[in-house]
Amino acid sequence: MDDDKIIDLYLSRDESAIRETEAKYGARLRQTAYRITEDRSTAEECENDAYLAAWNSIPPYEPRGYLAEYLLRLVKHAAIDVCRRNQRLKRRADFCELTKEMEECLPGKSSAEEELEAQELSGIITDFLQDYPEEQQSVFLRRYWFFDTVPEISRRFGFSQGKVKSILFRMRDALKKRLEREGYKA
Amino acid sequence: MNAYDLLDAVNGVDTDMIQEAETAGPKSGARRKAWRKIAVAAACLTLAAVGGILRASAGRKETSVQERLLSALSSLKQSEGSSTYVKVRQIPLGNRIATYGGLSGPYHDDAFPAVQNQYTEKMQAFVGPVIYKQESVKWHAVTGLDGFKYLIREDEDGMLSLWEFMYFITVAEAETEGKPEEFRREWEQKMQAAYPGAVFSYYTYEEMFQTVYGVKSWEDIAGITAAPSQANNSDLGREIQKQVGTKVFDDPETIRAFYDCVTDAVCRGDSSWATYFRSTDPVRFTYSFSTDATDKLASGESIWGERWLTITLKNGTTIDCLKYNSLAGVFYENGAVFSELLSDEQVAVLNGIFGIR
Repeated sequence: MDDDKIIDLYLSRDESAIRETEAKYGARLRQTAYRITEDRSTAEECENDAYLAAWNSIPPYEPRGYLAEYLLRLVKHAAIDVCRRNQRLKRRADFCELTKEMEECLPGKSSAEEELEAQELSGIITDFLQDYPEEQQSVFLRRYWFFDTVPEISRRFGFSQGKVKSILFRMRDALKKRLEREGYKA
Repeated sequence: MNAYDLLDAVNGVDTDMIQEAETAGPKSGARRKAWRKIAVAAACLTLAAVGGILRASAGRKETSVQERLLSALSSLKQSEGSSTYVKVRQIPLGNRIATYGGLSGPYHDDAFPAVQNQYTEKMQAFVGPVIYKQESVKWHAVTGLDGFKYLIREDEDGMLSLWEFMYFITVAEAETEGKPEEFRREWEQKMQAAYPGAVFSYYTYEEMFQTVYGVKSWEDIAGITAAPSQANNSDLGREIQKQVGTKVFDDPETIRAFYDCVTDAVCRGDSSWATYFRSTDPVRFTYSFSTDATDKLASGESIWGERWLTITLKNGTTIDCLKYNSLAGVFYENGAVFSELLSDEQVAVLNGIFGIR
């Protein structure tokens, strides 16, 4: 079914919206959640959480033109949340590596950090990425949005792995500085 | 805020950027072909280097089990749609708990059943005895392979996948900076409950060589290949790599000296190596990774002073995880696996072997 029609089903509060979403995007959502949690049943729970979140958020949201990204965002949020809460799942090697890399962007602790809402933080990161050429934006997002490995990114862009690592290292470092400028004190 | 909050925040970035990244990357055949040419050339060079050692190994004329296994799967590794990301599993090995990583392939990826079936078909010939069973999942040794460098996992649906040894789990995992002693005790209790009787102390490479690779003495080693570090591929880096070159050491005296040094090294398993160095010897750490104002590795010292090692055994199996960094005085591996600081004597011997001044 066409994405616009699926969104119309949500807007008219027709429960078949979820069935249609599952039919079209279920496998991809499960796979994305599995890639983060590496646990089939947890991945299915995340998928269901994503459907529920979609049901609860459309309306008011109307993700026309980006339903796939919207759903992926919801399922990733659910999966990241599970990892945050579950130490066992946190041990998955490549996701662990990802979180370690992200830790490098964290400035020193301050009382202000609790106050920064996730949405504001996303806005800051969007703004931060806009300072970079599209290619570098995409390298960053392939790693930290799509959770691609460095070899996968290297193949996609035709870069050496060293170059990918170097781009990511510099961007993480710059992001850390940017976050500090936004009110975090080391 | 923690790393998960930050990942979650990245999850919320502008949709246009996500859509751009979704299709980003060159799609032209030219660049892909160029990449493949490089890959083929690199593979040929590697095969030539390893081939040199294999020819040098006396009395072994047959193709090794490792070669046959990897050769059987090599055509599938580049299959369209195959996933390269690594998964890990904990497997009891002797009195240790080993971490194995799933090698590049379509494991458990429901989206590519055809490739899964091809992998399973290719691996049937290598399925050895079951060494560990966990509910309906069986872990097999590889037929004819000394030790347990590779294991074959048989899923409940009969699908086979290849896994490679990464490291033994040690208590270092619970020694996170800033965590109280209680955290370590809880970790140990949890692991003991999961694996009664297992040992989580640091381990020597001698123990790893014996348990995982079946190496009992230096005489089991055919040769050591030392290649320059590939960590810095700037123009300067490449020039130094060329000067350092890849060297093969296969005389008994050198092998014995190397074996004595490496087997005494104590490995901490997977842990926060940067934290360890900063707290143990910040001077050496800083020196070995010094950079200039724009974060470039400053003098190429990491290439002059580091060697990526491949140890080829007489049975044809290779131990290719070790990297020797003379600047910090450690062995380290991929991920966060590293040895404790080597003694000055060990560093002197290793530097002598590899010609590091």
